Amino acid sequence: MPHTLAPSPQDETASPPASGDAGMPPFSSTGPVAGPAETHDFRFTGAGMEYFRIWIVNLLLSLVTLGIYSAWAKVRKKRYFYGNTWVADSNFEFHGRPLSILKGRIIAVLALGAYSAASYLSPKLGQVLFVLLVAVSPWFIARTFAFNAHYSSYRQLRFRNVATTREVYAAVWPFFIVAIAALVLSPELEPGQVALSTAEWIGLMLPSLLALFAYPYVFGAIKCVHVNRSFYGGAPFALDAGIGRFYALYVKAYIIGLIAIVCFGFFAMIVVMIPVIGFALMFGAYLVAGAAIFGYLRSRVGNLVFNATTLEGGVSFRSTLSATLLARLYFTNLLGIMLSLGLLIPWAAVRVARYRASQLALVSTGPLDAYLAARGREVAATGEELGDFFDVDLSL
Amino acid sequence: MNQLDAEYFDGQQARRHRVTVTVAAGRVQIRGDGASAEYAVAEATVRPRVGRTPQRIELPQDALLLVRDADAVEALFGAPREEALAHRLESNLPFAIAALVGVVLILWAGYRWGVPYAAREAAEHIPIKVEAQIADQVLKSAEGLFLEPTRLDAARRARLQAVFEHLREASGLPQTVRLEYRRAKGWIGANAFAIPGGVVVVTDQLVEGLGKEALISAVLAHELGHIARRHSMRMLLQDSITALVAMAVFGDATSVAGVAVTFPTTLVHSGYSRDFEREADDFAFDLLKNTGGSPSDFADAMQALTGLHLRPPGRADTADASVTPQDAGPEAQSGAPPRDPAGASNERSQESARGAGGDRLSSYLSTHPDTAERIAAARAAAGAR
Repeated sequence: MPHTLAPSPQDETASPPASGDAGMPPFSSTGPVAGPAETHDFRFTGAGMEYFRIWIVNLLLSLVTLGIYSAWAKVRKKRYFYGNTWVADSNFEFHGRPLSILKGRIIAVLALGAYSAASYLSPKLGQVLFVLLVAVSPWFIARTFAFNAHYSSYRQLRFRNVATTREVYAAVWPFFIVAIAALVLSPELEPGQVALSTAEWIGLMLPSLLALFAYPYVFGAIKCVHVNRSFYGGAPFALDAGIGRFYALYVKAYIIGLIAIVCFGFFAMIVVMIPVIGFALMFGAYLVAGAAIFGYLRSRVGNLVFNATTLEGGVSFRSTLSATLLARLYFTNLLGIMLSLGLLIPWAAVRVARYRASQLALVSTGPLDAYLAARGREVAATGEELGDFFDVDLSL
Repeated sequence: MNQLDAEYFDGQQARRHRVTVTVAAGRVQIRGDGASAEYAVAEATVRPRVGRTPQRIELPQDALLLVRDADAVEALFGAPREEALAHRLESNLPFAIAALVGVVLILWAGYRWGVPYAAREAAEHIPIKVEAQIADQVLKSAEGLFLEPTRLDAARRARLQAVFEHLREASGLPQTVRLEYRRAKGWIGANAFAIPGGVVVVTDQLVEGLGKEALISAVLAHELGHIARRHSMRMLLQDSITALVAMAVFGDATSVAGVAVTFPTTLVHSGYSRDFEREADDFAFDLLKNTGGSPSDFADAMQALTGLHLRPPGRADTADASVTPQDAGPEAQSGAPPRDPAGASNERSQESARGAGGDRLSSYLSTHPDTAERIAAARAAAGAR
């Protein structure tokens, strides 16, 4: 999606840029001269009906070809969103190659099939494989960063991301602690056991609490690795945001979640009395809570990350997403998608892209013209597709 | 006119040059705004457009021409070869409408015939032995959750054993397929289910509640149908395909709606589940006829079970009864739900859902077909003898 593209553009290569372009400056010799700040608004020029036609053709051809066209479909979709995202009168471009994506997809589907089959035939083996999968997930993440960056460009200069698997590990390690804690602490409950001892309560609750506690750290650290290892041409991005600021956001999100849980409990009591109304209320609460939590988090995290990101050469960003508006957007999108059985997805996607772009601006004190290219190696789509299919979620 | 206005990027620097492009004698000349370059026309690759985005003409060394007037590009360079068809289709509204109709038809046909057919063919190529090792694991975890040792006396079990063996032999299933007796704890009550790999579990409550061996035999025949027809393997395959299709169709939805959109796959799953129940019913009807029984035994068993479950104390837990036997067990996570029962637990939810929200919805949300419908089918099969 274009919004991840601009401020956290990136590329691949496990090697730092110096190896490829030894000593080359990221700017032309005239250099970026500090001047008066110029603000360039982002803008998304896609339209619902236009994207609907692309979406439906993508869907039809993907189904008819038993999924093979989906690689081409992905390229066209990304090119549409990138190509319609503009700043300073130039648009972005996605350069991913369908054949590489197709290869990655085939590997991902085979791996997913093997995983499902193994879990079906032996739940034990499935658990072992799951642990292995979690253990290699940082590799998926690093490859996804590299892929998305390398195949994105602005004014024909590629982004790059050089985050290594080791750096991603350094960001996500608390999750491994949580996973191990869950394995060790889960109490062996007797069948049908209702009353739990204090120790058993702790064993059940502690891993979840640890996960909630670890999440803001992991999330903030991942964002930092992502942005700080990103380049536009030869120029590095930098994100200066303390982990504490992520904690501040997530605590508020947790409070919204807690309120939602209390409402759920209340509505569950109504279910016992008047089932129809109770279920309707619970469903409504689920939609509202989902939109509220995601709207809050995505807007605030977006603002936090963009506003704290700079690109060497005098470029910074200004993001003014409103939690209320984004939550309302998510809510109406969700409602529309459900009531239309999915038909309104293209319009929903365009609305979100348009709103996000409209709230983002680039502030530069030097000429954008001055940025210079740097060479990066090609990136295979395999890691990115594996991450996609195993649902390694990077979006939040 | 062999000229057009364009933006030129040299691929080395982010500078945008506003240039005039002249195409003549097989050469592309780029002039203006500090840029001066020349390429052979053959070196220029016109990228297919997407929507109304500018036309991209890629040149050697990462250089690029960006042209907003796509028609002018076509006139000078010809249409792009790759993906040009995609753009033509995407620009054509009638085709988009036809595509929409096509997608709906394909999804429907795939759901109705394509996916079940593919899963059946694939399952036939996977030997039943592969699943055998699952059975013990699944049974063990089920024991932990809602089963305890049987309290049926040995004589009773021996008689049921004989009934079961008779059915198993007549259905051509191998000797490894066996019957297990367990007492149910809590909500599953009078129930029977088939575990993939070939174990049929019957609860004491079902044996005691139905009493007559002919009725119990009808329920066992239904469970053997699940095993013989490879329902758990087929369900695993069908669910996997459904998940991939849902990913293709709803892939965009989650990121623009906040919460995940999973409802459609649940619907599809219960639809298939109902198909399997009907298939197991039909299997049972044939098996009963071939072994000296009658499908009307099945109808009687269903009726008796409905009665059993409508009686209190089954009232408080009615809401989820139709899904819990599958979803509560760890099997659900491993993708191997024990094929649940002769609809034992289901009747209740049918009744309560009907009271709550109407017939049609309850039938679509439930994993079993409507009980009255199944009883009628059994009576019809009995009459057709």
